[in-house]
This record gives sequence, C-alpha cells and structure tokens, in this order.
Amino acid sequence: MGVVESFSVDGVGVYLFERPVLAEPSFLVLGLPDAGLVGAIAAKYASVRLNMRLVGEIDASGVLPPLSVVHRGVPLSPFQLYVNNSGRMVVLVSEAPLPAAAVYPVSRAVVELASRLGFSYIVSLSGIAVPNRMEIKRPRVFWVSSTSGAGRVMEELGLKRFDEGFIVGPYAVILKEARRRGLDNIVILVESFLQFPDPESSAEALRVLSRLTGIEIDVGKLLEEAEMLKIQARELMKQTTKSMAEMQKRYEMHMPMMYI
Amino acid sequence: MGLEEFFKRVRREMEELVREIEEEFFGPKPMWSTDGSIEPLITMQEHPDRYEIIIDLPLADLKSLSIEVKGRRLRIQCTLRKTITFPTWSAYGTTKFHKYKTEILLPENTDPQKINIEKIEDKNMVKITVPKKQ
Repeated sequence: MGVVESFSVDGVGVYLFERPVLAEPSFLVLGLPDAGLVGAIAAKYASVRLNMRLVGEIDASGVLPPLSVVHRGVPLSPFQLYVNNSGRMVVLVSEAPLPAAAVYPVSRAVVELASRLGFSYIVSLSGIAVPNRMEIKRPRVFWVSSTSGAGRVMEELGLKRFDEGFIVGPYAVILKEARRRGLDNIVILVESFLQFPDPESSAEALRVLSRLTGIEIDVGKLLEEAEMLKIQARELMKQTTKSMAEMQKRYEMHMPMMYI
Repeated sequence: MGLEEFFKRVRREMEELVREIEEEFFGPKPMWSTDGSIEPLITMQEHPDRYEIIIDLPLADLKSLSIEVKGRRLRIQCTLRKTITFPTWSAYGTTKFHKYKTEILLPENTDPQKINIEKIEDKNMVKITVPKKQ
C-alpha cells in the first residue's frame, strides 16, 4: 500500500494511502488517548464494528515514539485513519499516547487534514474525569463547539453544553485552532475515570456519535467485552496517564473564574 | 535517624532512581509476566487524614482477593474468573494469564495495620483506605 498524497505540518506527516471520497455531511472523528481512553476505545471499536478501511496514517520523527504497530502482518503508525463505506466518516485511531511535545504539532496537522479534505465536522471524543465516577451508573455527556453552527447541531440533540471549565490536551488545541480557522469542531465530553480505561463511557460517546452522524454503531459488543478491553488497555492507559500528567490534565478539575 | 534506617532509606531511593532510569531509556515496564500474572492499574489519592487507593480488577474473582501487609508494603493477589490468552499476539500469544499480582509501597506517614478494604463488586474494583499516622 503506497502513499498517494502527503503533507507535513510542523514536522508532523500525514500520509494518505488513498484520498477518501467524502459524502455530505462528513465527519472526521478523533480518538486520541486521554481521560479513561474514552476516545481511543470508541474510535478503535467504531473502526472494527463498521468494517472501516485504512486510508492513511500520521507520523512524526522527533515528537512521536519510533514505533510501528503490526496488525495482521501489516506494519502501521500507531495513529491511523480509517474510512467507512459511505465515505461519511473517517476515524483517527490511536494506539500510543501522544507525548506532551507532540500535542501542538499533531493537533495542527489534524486540523489541516480536516481543512484540506473538506470535512463538514471534526468530532473529538473525550472523557472528562469526575471524582465520583464509581458511583455513576450512566455517565453524563456534554459538548462544546468551535462555532455556533456546530453548536446548533448539538443543541438539536438535546445535550447539555459544557459552559464553564478547562479542557486540556490535543482536543483543546484543535478546538482553538478550528475556531480561528472557522472550522466546525464538536468535542463530545463524557464523564469518565481519569486513570482507568472506561469502555462504558466510550459506549456513551458512541451513542451520541450515532445520533450526530446518523450512522448506527451498535455498542452491545463493546459493553459485552468491556472487561477484556480494560485488561488490554491497561498499558496504554498507564502511558497516557504519564502524558496527561505532563500536559497538566488535572487542570480540567480546576475551577475557572466565573461571573455569577 | 539510626544508621540502619538511614541505609534502608538510601536503598529505597537508589531503587527508585534505577526504576526511573530504566523507564527513561527503555520505556515503562510491561504490566504482565510469563508466570501468568498481570498487573492492575492503581490510583492513590491523598486526603487530610487518609490515603484512598483504588485498584481496577476487570475480570477478577474478588472472592479470591488477598492483601498481605509487610511493613509499608501491600502485596495484592487476585485470580481471574477465567484464564485468558491473546493468541494473535505473535511473540507472547501462548502465555496464559490467570491472576493479578502487584505490590504497593505506602507513604511513610501511614499506619498500614489500620487499613480498610472495600470490594466494589459491580465495578470489579477494590478501595483500600489507609489512615495517616496521628
């Protein structure tokens, strides 16, 4: 599988094995590892469940670890792009943590990818750590958007806006960058554990994604296999915890200055 | 501080330094062993009067949980409800995992003899509360 198109942003390379033909409205769904691995688990599950096809990858010497993940004998970057059959959804699957030094360049490369390919929306799937997660049966979902247009789409789903607080990490950078460039970015934030993989919260994120995109993603198998997934995700979670500490992820629990 | 306690402290600090150097050069240690054990994820939170440790034990049989206190070390073991393998994992696919095993070093200002253990069955987690020394 050879590269048909590539570009570089701040030293981060985006390599396309095919240029996906997008159908409207199109969604670039991001599953970068952060709190509870909510996005990483959700994106990986969606790519498998929807039989998505590998179309590209992201790599960067210097800021990303020099590793290749091998699946079915095929060596890949740990940051892969998959497209669904209808061409309406591309997901970014991550199988390695994003080091703090890579946050800005990778985030800018993702926004540039969305702009070049002309996605209607960038959708970031994220956990938001809550200290009482153990007592919560069904985690709540919040959203925040880069534009009022994207916000209206989420309001129509009847979900609660994330009005006040901090967001830390690549999704924060992507949100700011998208706003500056007038791109529609929606961050879906699901209550989650901070340092334990949280497939139940990933399932909530996918339920919202299904409603947003109109592409049905059955989460039954995800919930059925949640315990095995948690075992498999321990090492990624441990490394992500280290990266989150470098990014000062606990800042999300800090209280911002608010006018009452 | 006595001479014996001083050397113990130096040894602990040396061990910690070696661990940090290893992680810096070779990355974090794998969380599994060829003896069939896997290491659980753990969080520790400090409160004014205590530490709360949460251990995530997916697929564990919490009835088999054993926690041994040795000085400030907690040795934790728990068997899995079933043996698991990852057959497509080329180099290590034959390894059969059947238990959790880990060790936690408690902070110096704790009283390990007064720990409280709570099993949270619906989440497959264990909460250990360790009071601080008064």
